[in-house]
Amino acid sequence: MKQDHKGRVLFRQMIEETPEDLKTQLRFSDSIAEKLIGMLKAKGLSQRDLARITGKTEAEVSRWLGGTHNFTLRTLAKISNVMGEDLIHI
Amino acid sequence: MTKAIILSLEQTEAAGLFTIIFEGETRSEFVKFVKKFKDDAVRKEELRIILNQIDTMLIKGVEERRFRPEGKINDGVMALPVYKTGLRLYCLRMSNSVLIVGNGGVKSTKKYEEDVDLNGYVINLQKLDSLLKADIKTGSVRIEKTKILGVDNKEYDI
Repeated sequence: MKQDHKGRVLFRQMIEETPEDLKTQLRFSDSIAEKLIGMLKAKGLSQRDLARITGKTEAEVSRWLGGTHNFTLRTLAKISNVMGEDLIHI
Repeated sequence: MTKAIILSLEQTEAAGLFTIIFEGETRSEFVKFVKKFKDDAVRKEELRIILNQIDTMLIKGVEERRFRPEGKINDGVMALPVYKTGLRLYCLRMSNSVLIVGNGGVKSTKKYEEDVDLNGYVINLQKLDSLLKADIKTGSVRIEKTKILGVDNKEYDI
């Protein structure tokens, strides 16, 4: 198959140039999303259930799980409280 | 209608990343998207977020949760969004391991159909999706793990 060499080089260049703090932020966001997905699975809850018990919209819950959401501490606390387990440990 | 072919961008164990290029053009839709925003002081970070999402998918797989459904219910057109700002890259998520990325932009209207450029990008992918699905049905094209088989140099009328 034909390669998009230009595209590949550009893609890698942009990834390389991404500031480390942004990379770390995205890694944190994705880890939190994965942890939350695991929690939901363990409790047999859907995204819709999570929306209902947190008083948020399904669209917002979808954003939480998308892997790039910039969570506030308040939101992390809210989710941790309703799920009965801390989402993050310090 | 213009002819387009599918190009391979990257292949990893977890995923195959592809894009399209139109006949007579020297830049793929993905390159056009990146070049639009890579030097934009305001949008550069948002672009990096989207591209880093793609990089993560090349490691972890093309998980549906990372996308926002776009297009119509029956087509496979999805968007990789930056929610707060409206920048999005339109894609076809063919499987958990195959992603075709198209073009994108900033969605400042309520619906993408209200923006001429965004609407065009979505329509292109909708047409490609429909043609690919038809080929997959006849067996001339197959998605095998991270690869799309049967599309080498195949021209699609989009």
